[in-house]
Amino acid sequence: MRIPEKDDLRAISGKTEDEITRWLKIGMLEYMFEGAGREAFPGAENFIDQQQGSVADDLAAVVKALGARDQETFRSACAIALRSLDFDSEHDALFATELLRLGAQIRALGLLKVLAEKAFRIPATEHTLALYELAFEVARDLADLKSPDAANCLYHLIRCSGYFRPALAGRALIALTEADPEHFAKHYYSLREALDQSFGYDANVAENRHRQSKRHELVEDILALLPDQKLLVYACKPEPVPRAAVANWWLSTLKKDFVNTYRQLLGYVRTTEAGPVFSGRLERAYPSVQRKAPSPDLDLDRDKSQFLKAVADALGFSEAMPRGKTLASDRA
Amino acid sequence: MGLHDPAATLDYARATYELYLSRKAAKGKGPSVRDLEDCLCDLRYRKEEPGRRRKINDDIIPLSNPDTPDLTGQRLATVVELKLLPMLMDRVDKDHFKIDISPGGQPKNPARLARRLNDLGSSGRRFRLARGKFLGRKLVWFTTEAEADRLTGSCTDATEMATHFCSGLGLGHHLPGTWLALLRIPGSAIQRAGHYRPVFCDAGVHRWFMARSSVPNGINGPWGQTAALKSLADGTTPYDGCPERVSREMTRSHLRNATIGFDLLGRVELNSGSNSASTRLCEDVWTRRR
Repeated sequence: MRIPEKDDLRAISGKTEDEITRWLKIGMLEYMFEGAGREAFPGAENFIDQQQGSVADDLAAVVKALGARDQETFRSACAIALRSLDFDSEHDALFATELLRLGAQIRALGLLKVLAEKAFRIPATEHTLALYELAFEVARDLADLKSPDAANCLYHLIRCSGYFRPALAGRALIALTEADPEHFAKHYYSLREALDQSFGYDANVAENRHRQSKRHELVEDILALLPDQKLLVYACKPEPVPRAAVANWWLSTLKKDFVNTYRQLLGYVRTTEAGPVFSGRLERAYPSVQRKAPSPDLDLDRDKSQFLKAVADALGFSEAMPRGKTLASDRA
Repeated sequence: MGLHDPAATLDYARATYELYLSRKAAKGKGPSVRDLEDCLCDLRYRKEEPGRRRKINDDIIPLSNPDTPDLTGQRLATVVELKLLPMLMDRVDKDHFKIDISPGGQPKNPARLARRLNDLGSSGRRFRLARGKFLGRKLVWFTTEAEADRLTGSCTDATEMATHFCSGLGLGHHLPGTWLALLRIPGSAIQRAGHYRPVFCDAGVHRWFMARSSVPNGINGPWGQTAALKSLADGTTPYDGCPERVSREMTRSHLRNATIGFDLLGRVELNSGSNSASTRLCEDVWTRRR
């Protein structure tokens, strides 16, 4: 396997965005669909067909050997090339797969904006589904760049019906929290149903170590990303149905595996501080829902004290509370 | 170069040079050793076409010991970059294992990945090859499972496992920082895909390829031999690594319902392909007499 160095790539250095976009698009088309082989990429032909994987891996090695300015040009070119493709076409989907694999390896942030505009309209086929999953992985991987484009892209992808599935919910929540930790509540509410399907207690699925460790890892990852662990209270909010406290897997995981955090939450719910945090932060985090259609379980202003009481019940606080005492927020 | 038929070698060299001249004329630029090497590789394999296995040109250099021995019932081992695992795995298995690896090849949480895979046990670490995907690019280079287990057993420091495998299997091209996995492939699938003993034109520009054992007059039978890179660099003799053969690209249909086992080897810490190793191998190829 040949590894390129900067001096090997003079022919493709110092080019403009347009030139590199053309080089990339024509090269990919010739390599993938016209059987041109390594000659499709003049100036880098000695480094094609070298890596394990595919031509995207060859090109990633080429780009990584270039200088910073040229790398940036390639990142933009990758996004521009992707924009011109129609994901619903099988031909373009194959092309897009390679571009996404390349873009992910060279950290082309511009891909996310393009992905957020791309539609997966047709019913899922093997090709479009594979492309969707790759797009999801790329968006997830680039979430650590903390760009609003990453969160927008992930929101777009989780709303693609027929493509998004509950098994991706945990990874989506982690990526969204990584991209935009302040809006954890919004992310959580957007994914709540899918999360419950994937992580919740299910009479039809045996409770085993695997499911428990799945929950443990999700909570562990989220805790590591949250700027303020109190935001977890949103996830611990019990459902307005009987036996909800029992079914709250967030809470039970915290209680079982993250005792310190659990205790901190307990202390937090006892304080009046919790009230404004619930109402104010949620409104800021989730203004569209509050404004458009306040659903009963999101209208926290209306029955704040009731909600806090429910959280306290779920956390086991009210049982431990001396008779006659009430929550601070109730007194207020 | 380890070929049985010198005439075929000469024919191959001639064809390589003709291809090189035609490319040079088309490009109108000066000669380069790399271009010549590339022509040598390109003669062996047809160009990549989406959704199809690469064809191997065996008209000048025939496939050596094709499909012998019969590998049905055995398990064979190959090393791949970790970043390929999510691409190769069937979607259901990917969800099950939660193989959290970035498309760039870094595990999101290496300790957790290692722990989770360890918890699964060797019988649990198996996946089905995704539809439409190929295992191998041009070829799958493999050794026997027993050899892979021997390498595992001889590694004294688990954090050095990836480096140890690179050294034993002659994988000097994996740079430090690359994460590797070991795949255990059913022999029946390799048998269906087609396999043979590799020769020089299969190795392409790989600097650490040996066509045969470093032991003078050593007998390999239908197996090739990897170079043990540490021994090469240290000046030890012999420097045989493990027996090896190659399989053509493998699809789901070759596996039928069988699964591929996998182990995490970890991160390459040291580049095993030091200059001294490749120089010594290069010199030995020219001086060895058989």
